Formats: sequence, C-alpha cells, structure tokens
Amino acid sequence: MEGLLEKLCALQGVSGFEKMGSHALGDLFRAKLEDVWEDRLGNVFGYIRCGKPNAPCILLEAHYDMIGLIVNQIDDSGFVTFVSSGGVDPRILPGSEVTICGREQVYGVIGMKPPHILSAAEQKKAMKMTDLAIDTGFSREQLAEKIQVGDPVTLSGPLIFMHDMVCSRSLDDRAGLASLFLAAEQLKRSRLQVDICIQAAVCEETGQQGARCGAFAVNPDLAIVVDVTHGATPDGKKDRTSPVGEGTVVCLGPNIHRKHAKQLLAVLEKQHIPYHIEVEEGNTGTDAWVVQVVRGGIPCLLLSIPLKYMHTTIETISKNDIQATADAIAAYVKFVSEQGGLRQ
Amino acid sequence: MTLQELTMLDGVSGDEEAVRAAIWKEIAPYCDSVREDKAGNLIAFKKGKIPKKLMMCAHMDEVGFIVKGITEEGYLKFAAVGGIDGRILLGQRVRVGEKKVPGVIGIKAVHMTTPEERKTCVKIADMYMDIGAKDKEQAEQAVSLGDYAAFDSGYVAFGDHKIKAKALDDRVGCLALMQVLKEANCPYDLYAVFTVQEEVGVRGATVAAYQVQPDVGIVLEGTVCADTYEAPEHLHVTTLGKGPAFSLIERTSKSDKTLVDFLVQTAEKYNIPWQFKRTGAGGNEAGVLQQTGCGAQTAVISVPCRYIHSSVSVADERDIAAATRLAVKVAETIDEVREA
Repeated sequence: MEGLLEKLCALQGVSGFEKMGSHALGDLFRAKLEDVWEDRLGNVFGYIRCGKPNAPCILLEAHYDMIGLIVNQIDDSGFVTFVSSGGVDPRILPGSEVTICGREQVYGVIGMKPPHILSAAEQKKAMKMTDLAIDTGFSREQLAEKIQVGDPVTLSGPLIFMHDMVCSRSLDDRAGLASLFLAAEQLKRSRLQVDICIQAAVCEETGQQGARCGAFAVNPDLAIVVDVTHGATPDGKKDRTSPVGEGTVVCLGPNIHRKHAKQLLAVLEKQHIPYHIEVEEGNTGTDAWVVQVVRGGIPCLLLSIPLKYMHTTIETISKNDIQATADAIAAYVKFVSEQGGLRQ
Repeated sequence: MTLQELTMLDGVSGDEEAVRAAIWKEIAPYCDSVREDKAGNLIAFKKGKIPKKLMMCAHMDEVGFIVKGITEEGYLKFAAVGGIDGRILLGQRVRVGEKKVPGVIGIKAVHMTTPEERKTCVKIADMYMDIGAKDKEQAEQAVSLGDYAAFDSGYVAFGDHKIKAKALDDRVGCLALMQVLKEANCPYDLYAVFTVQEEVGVRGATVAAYQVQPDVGIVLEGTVCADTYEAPEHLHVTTLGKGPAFSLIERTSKSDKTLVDFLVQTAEKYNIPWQFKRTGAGGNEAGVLQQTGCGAQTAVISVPCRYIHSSVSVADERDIAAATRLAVKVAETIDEVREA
C-alpha cells in the first residue's frame, strides 16, 4: 500500500489540468486492469471482466484531481499571484512551497510580509489569498519565457509516514483511488458474475463534471463512490467528524440507495469489517451526488475515508482505514456478484 | 561545510549541540584554541600581532518549538522558541526531539470553520502537532515534554541565484565566520564566537562578550528583507541581491560611525556591493557587545533574508558570498580603523 500511495500522491493533476497526470495514471491502470482507456475529459477507466456476455457492471469511482492554484498575474517585481482551483485553504499557504507548471517547471515559495511592517490590527488577521504571492526568485522579465497567466500551480507536500498514519498532499482523493486498487487486487482473485469498472474521475473539486460523463459512458448497474470525509481533530467538532483509524465510513441518506446500504451494513457486520456511519441529509458533496441521476438513475453507495486537515498539504489519513475501505468494497462486490439481482 | 549542510542541522535556541559539534570539527585546524563556554558558546581564538581584541560573532541557534504538553488523544501542545508569526505555521512539517519524529501542525478543515474563524489568525497556544500517534501512550513513546522541534524544510537552490532553507538566520553568519577563521590573518587577537540563544534574548553573546571584553565587535547576521509582494519601498529594510547590509542604529545598539565608514570603504575598495539596513527597529548581538565592560566599537554585517524566521527563508547566494568576502577583508585590515 505504501508504494501505491507514493505513486498516486506524486501524480500531477490540479483540478482542470488532469491531463498532466492522466498518462502516468493510465500506466498504473494498465499494470493492474484490462481495457484501459481515457475519455476526452481526462477520466481514466479500467476493467475487471468476468467473461460473461452482457454481465451487469459495478462502477468503482474515486476522483484523482487535486486542489491547486492557477496563476492570475505576474507583477512588475516578478511576484506571481494566483487563484484557487478547488478550495485550497489559504491559511496554510504562507510558508508553503509550490511548483508552477508552465513551459518550464518553476519552483517558488509563498511568503508574506514580515510582522514588523504590519499594523497591530493587520497582525491579528488571517491572510487572504489575495494578500499572497509566489516568490520564484526570478524577475518579471526572466519569468516571461518560463510561465504565463493561466498556468497551474501544484502545492508541494511529500508523502511521509507517522505511526499508522500517512501524510501527504492530494490524499483527497488519491487515498480513495488507492482503496479501489487494493479492492481490485482482491476481486481479481475471485470468480465474479459481474464486470467491474474502475474510474479515476476528473474535476470533482470544481463541479464533478468527470463523474457525470464517466458514469454515462460506463452505464453501470451500481456505483460505489469512494471519497474522503472529515476526520476528527482536536479543534473540530466531534459531531461533524468521523473517528480516524477505526474503519471505513458508510454514508446514509437520500444520495444513497437504501436497499444496497442495508445489504452493505449487513455484509460489514458479518465479516467484521470496521465501519462508522455518516448521515448526510441531502447533497453529499461527492461524485455520488451527480452519478445518482445519470441516465435513468444509478444506485449509489458512498464509502468515505476519514481525513484530517482536508484541502491542505498535510492531509493525514490512516492506512487501516484505507484497507478497511478496500475490504468493504471487495466484500460487497462479491456479495452482490454471488447474490445476483443487480438488474430488475 | 556547505550552507546546505549547516541549514539542515537543527539547533533551536537551547539545543545547539548538533550545530556546535559540526562547526567545531570544521574550524579546529584553523585556530590556536577552541573551547565551549558554560553557556554553550563556541569560542575560537587566533592570536594576532597587535594586542587588541576583535570579536566577531554569529549565532548558531534558530527559531523553532518546544513541546509543552501531550494530550489524551496523542497530540503535542507546543510553544514557539524565538519570534515566530503564527500565520506561517499552519500546515507546516516539523521534526520533534532527538529521534526526529516527523509531525505536522494541523488545523481543522476550512469547510468546518466559521467566517469569523477564517478571518482571524490562530494563536500558537491553540495549535497542536500531530505525530500520527493514536493516543497519549503512543505519543509518549516517541516524544517527551521539553523536546525541541525544528522546521522540516529542505535546502533548495532556485530562481536567479536564490536559495531557500530554514535557519538562514543565522547559519549565513556562521558560514561567513568559519570562512574568516580559515582565510583571514587578523592583525588583532581574533575571537570568533559562535553563540547560543540569540533568538530568546541574546543570552549567549551576553556572557561571551563579558569573557572576551572586545575592543571591536562585529556581528554577522541574517536580517529582515521586506522587499516582498506589495510591500511599500520605504518599509523594505533591505533589498535582496544588493549586497550585505550595514546597520546604523537599531533598537539595542548604535553602530560606531568610524567602523561603519570602514565597512563602506572596505566594500568599495574590493568592489563588494553593500547597502544600509534602513530601519531603526530590530536588535541583535551588537547591543550587548557595545555595552560590555567599558564598551566596544561595534557594527553589524547582515545578509538580507526574505521570510526570515519561517521554514522558507530566502536569500541571494551573491549576498551570502559578498558578506563572507567582506567579513574576511574586514578582519584582515581591522587595524586600519581610525579611532573615534
């Protein structure tokens, strides 16, 4: 799992610029899956075929776009200002390292004015994104041939291990993608009655366009979406977060197909796969919300992995929870495959 | 020893051992004597021909953190050691204690904050480090109260001759002072002092100056450079790439006019770019050097550092080289300074 996470988190793919990472992701898919293809949005698909004609299909979906920045101006001194692609938390930007992906890869840091030139009132305020700029160490003239307005910017956040936890940028939702790969390993060893399609989706952070078009193309009989959810932190409210290191998280609510959810919970209980329940009364804010209403409707399940410090460069997640999520997916797919009845 | 090696060593104020040991090993062959004093300062001595004392100093310590508590959930509560702006801490990576346990300074997701919370700066007292421990017991196996923590930040050469690292303040000064020992034939007795605990109140320099009782004191520093995004020019203090900066007056000291004139003349003589530090704020070890015993002539040679006291301090390689070269030339010709 460690090696897989390292490969996935290192991939490029700021929301809207996923094609910078889709080729490398396609290689990872081809090493593990059949019939790999990429659509025109940059979604990457791969299959585990059961070999039976016209078999039902289960879509396993996680997004691979990651939050980042986009260059919006280069000032006379060469400082590069930016807007967010996906919801980057501006509070973590001062003191961070970035790479501008232009004609050249240009390293930079995001600093801020030192406290002594700020007023007392200013010193108490958090920095807004519009107060910040990237310092590339180049002048405006030197930058002219290297980067331009509109170039994506990736945030640096190398992957490290801390006890049973993993910390990296882009674990939202590369950790979800990792759980799909781990589930696929288990499913490849099973005799299935259904086809499995794994989709790595684009643009979840910016409007879920990838999920909508991908589900249309695959036209599955059931979709299992994996995303991250807020993990408990000392400063977060307990009732709005899920415990970390205690298993996968099963979502319940109108976005989720009730019959499948009940069956899933029964399977998890029976197989002693650790889980918690998260209730969403409407939009889950995940790809499941759009997939549910593709074509004539697609039954959806949503599994989530608790993630601390979402939308930062230190997103932190439990390896146990990634594994539990993979186990839950594999167990439920096997159950449905054996039981049949995916198509009414 | 390179600046990269120097900045990768951790030496938060009060915990300078790694820096001291590395510098000691490097300078020993070039000195008549080297000793560690009671405070932990490293005092290197080179005998001169004229019975006067030049003390040059650079501090080994850097800003960082100290562990003050471990919560039931296994998170570390901490305080800043030295002056750190809390706004540059959220999302930072650190290494904690002698085992260099990796950790991060966490913050609840922006999705769960109120508009008011998003506008205000989180207090350091309300922050915590996450080392991935599942509870207090697991955390205590890795970390103890009083453990120091340093920024986990690499050395990067980038842009137009720029470098980024932690602890540029004041490993740039340490680098220059080591070069003085290696290269300069100082006509006076030279005391090159690598000090401790500058960042918590110039503690090391205070006791070192008492022991040395210098006639002339020159501080080699890394200093504020605020020529940053949308900062008005009159508040820049120093400008990156325009050479070492000479202090005129600071909060704690007033540079000796004849010594500053000598710095300017020496820089001009050897075609070394220079600038004045353009503020009256900020202080450094010159304050205690100037007022030790019957007093000394003092001056400060500083390398401009953007985003000083952060994990991403930025300096210009050419400024570092120029400051180093100037420090060597000044030490070699210090007897040419006219008495006030």
